[in-house]
Amino acid sequence: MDRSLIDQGIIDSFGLVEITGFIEQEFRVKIREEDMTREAFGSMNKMARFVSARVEMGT
Amino acid sequence: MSSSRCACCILSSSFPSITFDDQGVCSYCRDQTAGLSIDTAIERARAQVKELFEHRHQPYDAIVCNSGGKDSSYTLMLAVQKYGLRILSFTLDNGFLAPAAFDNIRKVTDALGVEQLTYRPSLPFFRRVIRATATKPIYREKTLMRISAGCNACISLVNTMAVRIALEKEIPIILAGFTLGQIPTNAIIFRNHFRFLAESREESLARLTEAVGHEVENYYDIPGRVLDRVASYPHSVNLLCLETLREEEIVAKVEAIGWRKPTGVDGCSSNCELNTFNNYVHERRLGFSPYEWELSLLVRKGLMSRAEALSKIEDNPVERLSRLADGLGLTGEERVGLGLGVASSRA
Repeated sequence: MDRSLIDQGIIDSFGLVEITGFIEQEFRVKIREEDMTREAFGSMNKMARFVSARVEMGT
Repeated sequence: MSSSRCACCILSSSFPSITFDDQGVCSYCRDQTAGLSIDTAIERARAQVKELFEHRHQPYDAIVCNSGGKDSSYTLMLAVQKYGLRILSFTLDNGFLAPAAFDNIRKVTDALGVEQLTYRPSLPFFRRVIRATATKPIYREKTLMRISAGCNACISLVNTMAVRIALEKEIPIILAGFTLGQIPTNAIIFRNHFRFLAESREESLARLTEAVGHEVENYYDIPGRVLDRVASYPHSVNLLCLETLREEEIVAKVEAIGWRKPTGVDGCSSNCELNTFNNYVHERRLGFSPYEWELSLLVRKGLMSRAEALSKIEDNPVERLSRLADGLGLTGEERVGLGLGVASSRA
């Protein structure tokens, strides 16, 4: 869960687009340009932490 | 193709992770209701496009990646006539576009009163890139589910150049003529954040650089000093995904402003002669056509019959492969490795 989905060959660049779109739609959080980083989307756990923080903030 | 196909769409038994039920229906047809539905994604994208297009910019609202094919020509029409956008049309001349594609670019841009910018990369470089994609594993299986390696290398170049131009000229939108099936459903509209998305391309670019040389970085990368100054990346929008038209209706629309179907291209292309070679390499390596995924989606949506889809992928003029191999400068060893025999006559 801490490994990069890209490094594991699970997703490509369109996969990243799909994931960010899915998160915006499913969790109703707005992903800003400055959010688009390896720190936020580098692994499943990082994405979960990002979404959790945003949901708590209500944005 | 010796493999069997789905009874509903045209996916073959060689397609990744596919299974079939007792009726011969594939797992992709059975599971099509899972995840974000296509109709929901389209409605969401329509609302986003409406909001995005409300703001107008000088001197251009959008850049259109125009290959001269029917889909990008119609995208240009939609941008100008339906949405009233000020457009810069951009074409990457890869050296293998059909001569008629250039006539079509001229006719369509002239008819719509649009400025045209054509960029031609070094032909020896581009040939080396295509040869590398044909002979080495540059891209991952996930990417190759919906596109051939050669076409992916070309389209990645188009996208990089379009982002560069958009950043340089402060154009906020990049329009491309992809249809659903060529892209994921929630990629109809997305922020083309080059630096963020670059991470996913690092591995394939490293392999391409190893095969072709460091010239790859000049074409497929944008310098960090340029990206450091970016305040906002452009949106990429695929307007064709918002339309519900059959292929013959799109052709009729663009023919009305002077577009003509080129000769010398296969059933799945309306602009590029190299497509035939890329399809051949893909099918030989992976056992399925790179168009199966896209055309199967059109079949499921009722926008194309299964017979029409099959006839498109079967319209693959293999007799042109030897000439294309000559044009790419394939070595005798590469030709033999690709099952193309020895050179007929070198270009």
